[in-house]
Amino acid sequence: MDKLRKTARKNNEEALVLDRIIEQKTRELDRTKKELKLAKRLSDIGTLAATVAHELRNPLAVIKIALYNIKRKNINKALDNHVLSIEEKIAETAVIINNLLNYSSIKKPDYKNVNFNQLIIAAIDSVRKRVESSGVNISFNTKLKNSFMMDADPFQIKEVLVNIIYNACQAVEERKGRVAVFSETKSNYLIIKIIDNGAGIKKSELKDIFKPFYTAKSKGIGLGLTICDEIVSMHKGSLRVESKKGKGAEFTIKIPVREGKAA
Amino acid sequence: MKKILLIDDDKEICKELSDILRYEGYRVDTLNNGMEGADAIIKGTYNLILLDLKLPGLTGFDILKSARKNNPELKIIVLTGRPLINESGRGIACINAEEEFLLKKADFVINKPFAVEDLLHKIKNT
Repeated sequence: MDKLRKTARKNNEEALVLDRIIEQKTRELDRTKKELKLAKRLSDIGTLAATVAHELRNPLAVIKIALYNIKRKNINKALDNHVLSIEEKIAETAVIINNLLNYSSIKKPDYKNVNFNQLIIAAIDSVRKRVESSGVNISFNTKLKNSFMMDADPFQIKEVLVNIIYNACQAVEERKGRVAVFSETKSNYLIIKIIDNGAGIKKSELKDIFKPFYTAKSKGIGLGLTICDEIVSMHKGSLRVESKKGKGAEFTIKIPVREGKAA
Repeated sequence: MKKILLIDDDKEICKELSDILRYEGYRVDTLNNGMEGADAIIKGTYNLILLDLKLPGLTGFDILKSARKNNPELKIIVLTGRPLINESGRGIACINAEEEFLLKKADFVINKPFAVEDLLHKIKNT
């Protein structure tokens, strides 16, 4: 009898262990299913983005070339302002398409040995060209030596810088707006700050600004900062923002200094 | 004078771009079909081909392949709306390995919408 009870107890214990294993495996399966669903959704977004991009880029190309012809043949200077507006809108549309594409195809960094001061200056120049009519002042100060080099993906980091600096320029008032870019190294981290004196970000919005498709602006699809955050994370760094409504914003990019490993 | 063949299924691109190219002093023919494009390259005496990739008949990749086989010296600039290259110039996962290999045979690959000045510069220096 005792032997039978012992066997029954042992069977019960084994059944409990099996139950727990089944529960655990079911949870793992559910998690995998969710991950697969998300992966498929992201892959669908990628395919959709590629298709939409192609279909939009062609008509956009025609508009841009036709506009070049209008400018070339234009003898009525009163039309110049309208032409400029169309040009600006084409550029905005192209940025939206590129952001959608970049979001669906962010790759691991292709590390190169980069002169960071030159990279930051190139990013600032690129933004200056886009905002030159607004009169926003962009300054750059650095504690980095001119010769400071470190490994990073120059194209990805430039994209991050252009995105954040351009956002800052959009956030400030025309003519009175100031955007300051600053770089240094601290405790083996490269730190780049982008500070503006613009409208600032509400506390309630701060937690959402890196989420995909979130935007507080009237323009754009809310992928710019998501891409920036992703790229900085892939460089094993962090992207932080501090801001108060009406008091401007301060974005800080922090990337560990990585030297001499680029292929 | 450089003789250019522009192959693009978008008739408006052909109309607008050929207008600019003729103004810049080039001789330009335009075609909207891949098959006709491939024939014209074999029969014609073009110095430069401006080539779209998505074409009816033969694709731009097919044309690139046959043009390079028959006339390795011919200059080819690919103009495409396909997301083959991002701003960084690096490939993204929208083309397969064979297509990527073929694209490397082009003298330049330019994403639409492009700056006309950039295209003219490349045409001049190709």
